[in-house]
Amino acid sequence: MAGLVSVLSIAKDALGVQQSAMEVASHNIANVHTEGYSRQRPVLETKQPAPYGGQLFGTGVGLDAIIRNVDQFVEARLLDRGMELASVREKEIHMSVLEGLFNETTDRGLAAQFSVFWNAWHDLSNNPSGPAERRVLLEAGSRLAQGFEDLAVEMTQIVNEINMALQAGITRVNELTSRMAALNMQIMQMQTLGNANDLLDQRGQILTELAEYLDIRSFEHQDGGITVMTKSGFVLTDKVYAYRLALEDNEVKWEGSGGAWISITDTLRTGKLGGWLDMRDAVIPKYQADLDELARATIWEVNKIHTRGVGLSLYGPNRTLSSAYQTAGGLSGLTFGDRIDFSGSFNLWIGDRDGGNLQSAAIDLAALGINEDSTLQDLCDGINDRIAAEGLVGLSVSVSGSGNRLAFSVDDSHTFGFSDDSASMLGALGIHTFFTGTGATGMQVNPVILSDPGLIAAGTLDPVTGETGVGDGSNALAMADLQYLGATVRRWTFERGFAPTSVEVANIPLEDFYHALVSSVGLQSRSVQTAREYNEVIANQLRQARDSISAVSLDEEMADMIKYQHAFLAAAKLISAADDMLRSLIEAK
Amino acid sequence: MMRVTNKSVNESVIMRLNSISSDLFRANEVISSGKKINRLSDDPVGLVSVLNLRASLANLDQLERNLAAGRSWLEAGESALSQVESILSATKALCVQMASGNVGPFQRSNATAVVEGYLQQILALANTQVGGRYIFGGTKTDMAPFDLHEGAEVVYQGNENPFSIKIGRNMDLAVGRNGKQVFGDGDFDWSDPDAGHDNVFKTLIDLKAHLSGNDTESVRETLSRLDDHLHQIRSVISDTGAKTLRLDAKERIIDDLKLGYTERMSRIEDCDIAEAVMSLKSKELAYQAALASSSRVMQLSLVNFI
Repeated sequence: MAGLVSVLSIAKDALGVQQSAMEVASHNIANVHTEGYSRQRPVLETKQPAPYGGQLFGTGVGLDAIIRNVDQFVEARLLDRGMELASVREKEIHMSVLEGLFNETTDRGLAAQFSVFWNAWHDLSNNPSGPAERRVLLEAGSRLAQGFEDLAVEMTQIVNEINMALQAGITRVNELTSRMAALNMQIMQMQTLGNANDLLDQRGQILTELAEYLDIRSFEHQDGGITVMTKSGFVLTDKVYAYRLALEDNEVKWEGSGGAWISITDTLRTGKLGGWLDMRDAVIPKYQADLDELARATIWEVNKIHTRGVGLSLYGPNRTLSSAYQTAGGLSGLTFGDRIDFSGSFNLWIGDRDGGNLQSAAIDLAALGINEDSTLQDLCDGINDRIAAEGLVGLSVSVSGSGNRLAFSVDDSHTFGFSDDSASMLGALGIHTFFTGTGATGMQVNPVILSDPGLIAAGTLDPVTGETGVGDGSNALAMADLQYLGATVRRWTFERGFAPTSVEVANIPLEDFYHALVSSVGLQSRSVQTAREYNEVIANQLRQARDSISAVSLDEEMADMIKYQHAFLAAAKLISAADDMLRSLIEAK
Repeated sequence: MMRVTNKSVNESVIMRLNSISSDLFRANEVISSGKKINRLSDDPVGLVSVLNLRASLANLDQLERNLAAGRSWLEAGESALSQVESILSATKALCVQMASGNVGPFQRSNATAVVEGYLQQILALANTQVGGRYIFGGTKTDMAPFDLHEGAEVVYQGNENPFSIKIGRNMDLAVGRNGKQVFGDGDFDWSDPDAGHDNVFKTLIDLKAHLSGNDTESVRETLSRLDDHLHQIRSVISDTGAKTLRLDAKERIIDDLKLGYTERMSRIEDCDIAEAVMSLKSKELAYQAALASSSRVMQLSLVNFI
């Protein structure tokens, strides 16, 4: 076929193709701000030429395909960066909450409470018999303990929030993977029919969101379906099949094809889930452990000094003092059992109703054969033996059957007290202490003292006569010195997938340890911020590169529009020209 | 040539504006709080110094309070002992007068009343209180350390541990006194007054007896005992003075330290307002420029021309 009919045919095809091209442009314009949309481009091709009269004539234009402008390499890099970015973003959010908790930039934090606490001991040493000073000290001690408790509670709260976020995140991941499987099905069907550009964009979107949650990699099959798996190889979507995740006992578990649930918690390193798990299993536990250690050291060091002193009066008459810490096994099983010096001793003093006529019984642990394997009952028997040997009356020591606690009971006509506890036995038992508790949670001022501030041990008993003066602030002075002295504190290291390790830091003042803790929160927060900024810059560059390839430029589409419009007009002109020519042939007589 | 798309124009405009406005926010925060460090991550290392300095300052404030408490004890002690000294001097003068042969038994017996007055005065001074606490009774501050027992002897009811205050790291200063040492010769055994040791009260009580007994020789002998006491009191006064000087020195050191610490803390955490305002201004300018240029770039489009 040749001649005018061919011109008409070419023009007709051209009209159609230019219209289609215009349609693609309009689709692009309409989706200029659609997230994840990749610019589509019509691919025009000349049609197969036809021979006529010994010549080959072109037969016009055809629409070969509509393709997406996508660079797989950039997309893959962007996906990877997205995982990293999502992870550090989540960490940054939680670190900023932590920073708020440890906010020591104002003077209302725990550091200030420490100062107030030490100063209260100074004030007590200035006026050991002052009831006001004693009240203030109790208040300061309670607030210090409360400060520890508040921090511990808030950190537990963050962990709870992270667990809830994990639950929501996993639900979202499951949604995404099942939608991915459904999309794979559609794409595999569509691709046999024609292009699946828009569905591919959608799938790309899902992949991007999935990468925000966990570290994934994916590869495409010949038939258009893709397989998505975690970086460590747990398959999430395999073409049309989706594999679910679940949060069980706060562990992320993967449902394998056999139906068995496998924990993949420690394999998740990036994405929001990775960020949350990092916070939950490594960052926060370290601060919790450090805080706990500090509280523990504070309790111990304060108690150690407190148990060596004496209050305005002795305990009693008619009073029972029970140990705060209990053990069913050997003495080393006590909370602070490892700190007992079994070569040491302490003195037990018993006086009359008014604290006069003091007589003492020295409790020498080694002489009594008390060692770390001895039970509370052994210690109790030893003390009772010594009391009997000194011919003292009025005080009975017993082990309460239910609680495994040591109890000192004094009758109506006697009082009792302690001195020279070189064994640190009282501190380990939790008798005659300032604080009770074993860590940041549950730390509080000993209720015994709280109900009778006169029992705060500001003074010391005379080791010979057992006498004391109400104006004696020597023990308060020793306590005030504690702020300058070093304590032994454990510093912990947490790494996900490994058991926590710790080193003993000797001779560090309690406040300094806390200051270091605060500083490490700041440093960590700083480094997460820096990582976020760094990843954001790279992700932005990648996104710019991606957009420069895949996003829509309205100017470009406008130019294309005019181009196709002109081509359309020209083709129409062709038809009318061919029409004129045909008419002149037909009308020729 | 890089393709510039509407999306990337939009996104980069938003991103840049965000980044400048967050800078602006920070600059504003610094100025309005007056502090360079507003959260831990602003300067974690500087913050540790600030925390250490703040703890040291709190401690210095407390030490100043301790010094003030100590000072009131020392001053009360010094003033009481100075009065005791002048009373003892007067007693000595009286003694000299009464030991002379020109004085008759009647005058000596009259002088007894004077000595009795002196005794009561010294007893009152020895029971000086600061804030309701006795300063010459060791740490038994709740009970008058010296008690005149049936007008015949004075018993010491305090103990031997002087009251101390904390004036620095591991540094205590005894500001109270073991009354035994002040008013006696130290080894005086109150439970056995006749064991050969002496104290001010015993001397005065003896003097009274000598005067009323008109025992001129014994009155004269009393002079040397009074001298011993004067010597002891004076040495305690000078010791108290030395302690006061020590407090003064300590106070000066604390003032200097506080000044230094405050300055260092301020250098780390306080913002330089002039600098901060300059930086705010420059950021404001950048923000305005970015807004102006963004709005222009975003309005440009081929759409407007066809």
